[in-house]
Amino acid sequence: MDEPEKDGGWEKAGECASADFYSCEAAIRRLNEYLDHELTEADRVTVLKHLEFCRPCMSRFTFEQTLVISIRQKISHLCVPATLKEKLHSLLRNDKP
Amino acid sequence: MAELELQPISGQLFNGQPNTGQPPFGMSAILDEDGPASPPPTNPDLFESEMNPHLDALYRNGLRLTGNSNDAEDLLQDTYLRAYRFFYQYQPGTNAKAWLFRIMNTVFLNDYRRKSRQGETVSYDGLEDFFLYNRLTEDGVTGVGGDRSETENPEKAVLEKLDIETIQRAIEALPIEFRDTVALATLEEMSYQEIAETLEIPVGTVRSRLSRGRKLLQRALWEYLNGEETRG
Repeated sequence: MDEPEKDGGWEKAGECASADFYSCEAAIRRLNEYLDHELTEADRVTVLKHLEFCRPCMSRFTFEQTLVISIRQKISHLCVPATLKEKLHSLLRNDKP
Repeated sequence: MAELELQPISGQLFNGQPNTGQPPFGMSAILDEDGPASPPPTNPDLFESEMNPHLDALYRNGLRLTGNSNDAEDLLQDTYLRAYRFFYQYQPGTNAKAWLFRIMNTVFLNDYRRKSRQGETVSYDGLEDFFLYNRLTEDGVTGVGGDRSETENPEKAVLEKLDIETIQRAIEALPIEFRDTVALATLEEMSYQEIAETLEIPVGTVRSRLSRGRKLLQRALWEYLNGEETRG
């Protein structure tokens, strides 16, 4: 699936030559922006079209997405200690500049 | 010397820039211990409603910077009180999270930098896309993904073994210029624009650091999951 990249990041090939979709390389180059919701809607749709056709990429992208979400969820349990929160709350009331 | 003001602290790298001893642009006043001479009064309830939604993320940033919970708590308190004194400079509706993080980074560089920890020395060899996925789906691989049933479901195999401590260690092992960017995007879900504002770097730099930094993170996670050291 890893066809050489053509200019503009588009690769039309094979039976799907009439459809606009990225090559693996072009899709993978957009992985982080896809994960971070930084793609334009048009780019996101084009990546999704590629994933629809390309099972290996679908599997890889799904893994990456699950990994990021899981890491984020686990680390979100790390919170400010309640005692410090209370201290800050009272410091603001005593610390009138 | 306006250009110099944009560059943080001499000697070591912060955000990939050489330090010049100057606080980041617009942050000099924040370092004044006594605060502004006659600041407008701040309503603590208003301040809390604007800033407290970001407190946990700010605390985690403190943990990453200092590496221990005692210093992180001190740094958070310093940051929070300075933000309160200088709240009149904050423009409502602008990015409160980025503002708080910038204050924390400035205070850290000024007051805590002797305790600053550099990331491990990391080799850039063998950086590939989908590092973890590839390891977990390789045939005959030993380690966390070695079991046949696990290779059929690599997400499940690795995610069950990832705990907070492993994630923190892997993040901390990243070189400092990658650590901030990767942490803010991956852990704190900041947009690239927010990260650029927070770290005072161009959005293009955010993208390139993220691209390399996430690969390094995956390799570090893999090594920690397999009980190896990241030094290479």
